[in-house]
Amino acid sequence: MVFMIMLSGCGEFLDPKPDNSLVVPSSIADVRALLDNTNVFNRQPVLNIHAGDEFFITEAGLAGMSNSEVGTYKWLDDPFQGDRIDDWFVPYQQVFYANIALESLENLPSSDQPELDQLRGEALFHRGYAYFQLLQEFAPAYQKEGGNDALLGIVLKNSPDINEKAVRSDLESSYQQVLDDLNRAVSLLPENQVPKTRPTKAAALGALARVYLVMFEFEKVSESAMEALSIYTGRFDFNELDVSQSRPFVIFGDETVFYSELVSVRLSSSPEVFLDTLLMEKYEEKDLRFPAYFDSVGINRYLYRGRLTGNFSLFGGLSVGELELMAAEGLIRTGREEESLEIMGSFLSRRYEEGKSPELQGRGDDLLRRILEERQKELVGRGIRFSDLRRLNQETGFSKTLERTIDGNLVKLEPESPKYVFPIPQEEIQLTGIRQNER
Amino acid sequence: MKNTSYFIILFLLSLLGSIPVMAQQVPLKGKVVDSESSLPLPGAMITLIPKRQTVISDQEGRFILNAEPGDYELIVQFLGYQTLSTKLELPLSQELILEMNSINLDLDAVEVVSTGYQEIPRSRASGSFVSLDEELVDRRVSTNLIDRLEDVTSGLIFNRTGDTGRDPISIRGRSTLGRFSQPLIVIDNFPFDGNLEDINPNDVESITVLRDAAAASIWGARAGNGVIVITTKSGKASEKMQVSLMANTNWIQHPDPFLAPNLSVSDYIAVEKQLFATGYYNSTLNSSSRPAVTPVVEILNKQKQGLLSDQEVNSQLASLERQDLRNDLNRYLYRTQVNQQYSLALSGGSDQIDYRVALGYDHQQLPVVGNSSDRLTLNIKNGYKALKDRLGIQLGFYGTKTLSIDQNAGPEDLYFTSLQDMYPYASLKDESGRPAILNRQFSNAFKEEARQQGLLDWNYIPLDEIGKSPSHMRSDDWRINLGLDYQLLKGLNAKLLYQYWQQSSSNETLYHQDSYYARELINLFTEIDESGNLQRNIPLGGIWDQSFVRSNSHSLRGFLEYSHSWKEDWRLDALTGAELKALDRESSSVRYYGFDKDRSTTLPVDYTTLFPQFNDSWLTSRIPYQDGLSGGKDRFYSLFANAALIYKKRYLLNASVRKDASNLFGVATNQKAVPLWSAGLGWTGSEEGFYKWKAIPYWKLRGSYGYNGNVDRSLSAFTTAQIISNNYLTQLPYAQVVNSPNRNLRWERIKITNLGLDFSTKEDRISGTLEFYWKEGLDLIGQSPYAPSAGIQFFTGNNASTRTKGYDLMLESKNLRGAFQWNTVLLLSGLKEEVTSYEIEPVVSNLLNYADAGLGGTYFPVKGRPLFGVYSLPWAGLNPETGAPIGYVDGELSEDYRTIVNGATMENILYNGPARPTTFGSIRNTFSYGPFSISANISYRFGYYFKRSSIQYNTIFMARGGHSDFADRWQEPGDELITQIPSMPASRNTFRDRFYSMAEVLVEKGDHIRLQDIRLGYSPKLAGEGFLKSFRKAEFFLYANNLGILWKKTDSTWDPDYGWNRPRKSVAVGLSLDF
Repeated sequence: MVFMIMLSGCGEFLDPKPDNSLVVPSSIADVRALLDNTNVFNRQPVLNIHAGDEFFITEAGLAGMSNSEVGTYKWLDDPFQGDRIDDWFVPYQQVFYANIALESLENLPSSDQPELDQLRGEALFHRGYAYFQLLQEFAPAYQKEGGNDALLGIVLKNSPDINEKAVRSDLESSYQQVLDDLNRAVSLLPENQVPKTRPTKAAALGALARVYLVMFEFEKVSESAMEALSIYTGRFDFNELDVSQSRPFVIFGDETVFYSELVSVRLSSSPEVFLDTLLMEKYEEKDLRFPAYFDSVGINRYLYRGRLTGNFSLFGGLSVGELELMAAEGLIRTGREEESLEIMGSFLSRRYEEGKSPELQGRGDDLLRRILEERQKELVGRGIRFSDLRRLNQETGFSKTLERTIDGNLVKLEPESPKYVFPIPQEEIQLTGIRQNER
Repeated sequence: MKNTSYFIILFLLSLLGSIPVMAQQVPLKGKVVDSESSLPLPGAMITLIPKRQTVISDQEGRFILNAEPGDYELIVQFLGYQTLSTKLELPLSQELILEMNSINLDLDAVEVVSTGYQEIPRSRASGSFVSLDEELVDRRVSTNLIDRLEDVTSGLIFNRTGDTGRDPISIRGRSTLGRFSQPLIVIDNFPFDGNLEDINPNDVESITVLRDAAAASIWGARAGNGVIVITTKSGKASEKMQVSLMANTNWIQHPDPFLAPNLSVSDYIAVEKQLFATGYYNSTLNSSSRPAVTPVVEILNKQKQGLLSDQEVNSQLASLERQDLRNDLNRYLYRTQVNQQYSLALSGGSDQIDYRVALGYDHQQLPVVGNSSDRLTLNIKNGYKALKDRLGIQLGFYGTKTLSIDQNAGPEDLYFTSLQDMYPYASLKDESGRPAILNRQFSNAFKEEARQQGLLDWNYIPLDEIGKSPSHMRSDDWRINLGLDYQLLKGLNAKLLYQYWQQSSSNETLYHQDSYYARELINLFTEIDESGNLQRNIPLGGIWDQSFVRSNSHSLRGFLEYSHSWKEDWRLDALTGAELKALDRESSSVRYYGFDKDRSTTLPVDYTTLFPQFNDSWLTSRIPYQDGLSGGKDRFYSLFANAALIYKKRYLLNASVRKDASNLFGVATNQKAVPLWSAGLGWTGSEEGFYKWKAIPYWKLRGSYGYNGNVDRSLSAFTTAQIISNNYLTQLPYAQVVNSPNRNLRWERIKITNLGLDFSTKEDRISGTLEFYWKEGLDLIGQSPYAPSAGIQFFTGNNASTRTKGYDLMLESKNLRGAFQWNTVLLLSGLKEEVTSYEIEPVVSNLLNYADAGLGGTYFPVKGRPLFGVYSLPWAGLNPETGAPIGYVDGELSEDYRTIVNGATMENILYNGPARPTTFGSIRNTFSYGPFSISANISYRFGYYFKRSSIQYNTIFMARGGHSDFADRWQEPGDELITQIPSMPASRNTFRDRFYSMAEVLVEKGDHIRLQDIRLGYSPKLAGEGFLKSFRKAEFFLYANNLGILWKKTDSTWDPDYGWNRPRKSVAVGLSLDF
């Protein structure tokens, strides 16, 4: 009896934490720390690079790669060969973390409103950004001609409950969710943040521009990109670079608006992965990007070395160059040629040797073509090209058939190929029973 | 034997009422004998209490007394023997044998087992206990207490394979998949939180191992892996002061560098020459980061550049070939390990007081020159009785201070580059006998350039490094125990036990500025500007690393004990109480740069900037930041109750229940805590009136059933995140979700059924225990795969189970008695373990990579198989044309190694068998003649498999050395008849190597028998004269350990438990004196 009474007072006795470093997220500082987990939030899918047209991999290079890298590169029917796929998991881990953050913020007192808003904005940005990344690989391209509500999108998870049933939403709702998250993020995020692993209003606008670009809503593309450029005023001139160095860029440089790395794969460090020869021919003399980005190690053997991460990782975040190119494309496609040319002129002057940048000629589709070519040259190895192929393949005159030699045979990837959509990893299908993509 | 149902009916009937007793004088016949020799003791005085009747035993040691039936106490006194007091009930069915212990032997009359809560006579226990008395604990010579359990504890095994770091010992197999697989260790009534190294084995009186639910369930949620209860020595009331002195020295072999299966020096040089010819070293020699190359490569390069003639090259290579680093290690870095132990104890007591004070000192000269370790222990125990013995007070203090000094990082630190071991022809001294410079990390030319630019000397001279980076590890550990017991009523006692424990330890390493570590780090962070000025981003001076750990705990236990006998035949022993424990711990680590010892100053550094590295300016790095803090608190409380009911001294029923709560789990779980319980039954059949067989005068059957628990302290019911202090990109703290919410988290439960038989033959000639057990691990914490879209890949929850069944046999036989004595103790244990459910599909390559003998490694649960298993790929021998290994693809012979390795599935790989012994034990024979005794322990382990390592040509092609099997490889057709070691491929072939490393041909049977140790003792009879008269006991001994394998199944040179390595042999001499 005495002991029973004693034990009823034990509530407090059992309160202390078994490990001081453990928290049940419940304060602004805890949520801040969750959202600062760069290992989770500042990574994004990479296999689209393998499936795209920027690099070619030698036999020796393929021998050292994982099954999923090889399978995606060879456009196999079953590209992942049963491998665990980070491209699918990493964005969903971001969604899980973002949802934990959002739920924890709900339970906090509203006395610290500005801080709460900022954190909520970050969580929404990350969730929208993650969904967008998933849509670029695991769902069909957004259709210019409409009918998107009849296509399969991705699994949307808007609560941290790990037992919530997984269901694939339609493509239209999936994109609407992305727009919704990012638009709310724009209204909540501050204009500036340090470090650049944290999203800002400019980053959210840049991400919106990316989404509108694949949705063919060009007016909104230029609008968002230009607003982002007016908020983020840092500009980086390649003339300031010491291009002779192996790694000329430094992490968090002026060019970077939002920092994110592609998932680490053998492709990013293999000495047997070279730039597509035709792409290399597009770089003109005096284009500083050529020496800054590439190392020549033999005839038609170019390694991709200069990355905005300043290290071995591939960069996948938002840069000023991408914002400018999106603004220019949005403007030309909505008939605002002069403004587009102005932006391109300023952009190119920071990419070519001083005073050597080309005067852009032509109008209309020619100019658009040139902007798209600049896009390819500027954003190589960033995980953007695959999305561009998916949208451009829907436009006559811009579609492309990819070709590569595999095991001695020429293999083609036609513009309408269902292989532009990755299958959902087998593990997910087995455990949830959601619909698989057709290949 | 009669029908068993008869006994059950009788048992039930007797529970209802007791049988009346007749009042009539009956004779009590007895015989007094020496307990060791069984020789009769004539002239002993026997007193019957309370009648105070006294007789003296006759020439045959016999006596007769007459008294009414009833309970009596018999006291036997004889000079030179401990007074014997025994309770008995008249009438007796047979002659009473009274065994007297000579004072020299100091044995307890009644064997008592300790549960950590109470001490109970073995006759009243129904659970599975193994007890080691002081003699057995002291048999082995070791500074570590736990080592002394090895091969003398039935059912307990020291694991040599599989997760041995976290799982060094197992009691009856492993019943958890989680990280907490070790038995609970209880010292002086409380669970012990410190390091076992801090316990001086000489202070230990007894060890009891609790193996089943009935024995251990009083420890509830912490008893799932078994419990080891250690009791330290105390003084004895009413005993004259006794002084005990003990000293021993143990000489232990140092590690033998020749055991590791490495390429011979000549093969190593031949490989280097071959690789040089193919241009392999060109990229290293031309690399912008200026890496080191070995002396052979330097010589060959000079030859290529025309700086050396062929003749010079040959003579230089020949002289390198004559050197062997292993000889130098033996000569300059290793020495015999010498452990010295001393202890002095005073003990004694009067009617009201008992005391013991013991001081121990241990010194270890470690096998690496310059390193040593010291330990000082002080143990004080006092007991008082007051208020007419109704109040008892016990006070105890146990303190340990240790200091280990490492002046020498030893052979492990002798690496060539961070990727490669030191080249085997390195020489630690040059021709003139001075400590030699070895090539390391960066090329010599680069180091010379750096020196000219003003950087610190970059040469690496291993023998000069000794003493330049001293580490001091200190530990202070002490605890205070307070015990109060008070007799409230007759049979009812209240007890209160309290313990305060605290430990603080520190580890400091000072890298002096002239140590290689400090010089290299300072140099790498040095920049040179255009005008040649040095900018040192790490300042000159020493680098000082410190880390501290501090812990303390309060434990409090209060309980009521009740004993009552009624109507002569019934006896009840019960206890109930509660326990609280609070443990706090904190740790910190810090590094100082620019340390100046004389002035006690340090200098600041910039931890955030990425600095270019001196050897290659486009490599950038931050200055290593080593500071950190951590801390936490553990809180436990529990309620427990335990009762034993005995009828007629032969029917025994006991039950135990316990409820635990802690701060480790979410509140929700604590509220619905399921109590863990057990029940046991015992029947001493030999006590039955109808049992008359004199050949086996004692036997007892017992059985128990119940649950123990196990806690995984890393889990919680809530979403839990861990804050990590320093993000590599941002240097900001960040949080990682370590636990997804799990409202249904429960304890792991181990259901144990145990059946036991205890018996002894006439005069204890053969006695033993046989037990069978069935263990089921339920609700075990394991991982299950989760859909990635949930944001987690695995969910950790109660979703696995295991099953273990086995037996433990212990037999003691007194083969010869009399002047020449021969005793044998046999331990035999067998077990079969199986994972009965686990939701994750095993990764086949993990299963195949695992289980190199002696290498530890982790485990991968497979349903239907033991937790630790050996798996391999089928092997079809070597190709007689090429010496290439052959495997199978879809049942066909194949050399497509990629497909063989990648195509391995659970269906087409082989399961060879368990990786841990399934039958094991020991045989210990002791012979004695007069004062001399010799005992030898032979241990054996059967029914398991291990995998050898062999040549991996990959490392040869990467110039990183290789396995000595290289010398016996297939080299020409016909070799396949004498070797199974594949030929060297033309170029690197990773999959060929991997196939061979996973192949069946490397799997061996582990069965073996080992001569573990021999102990020779000399205990002179001290009766008599002069100086010797003051001694009560003296023993001199010689002890040799790890003597070697007597038999093994495998033909390979490998030791199934230690791989290519061997346990180090040792020889000790010692003496112990009591006066």
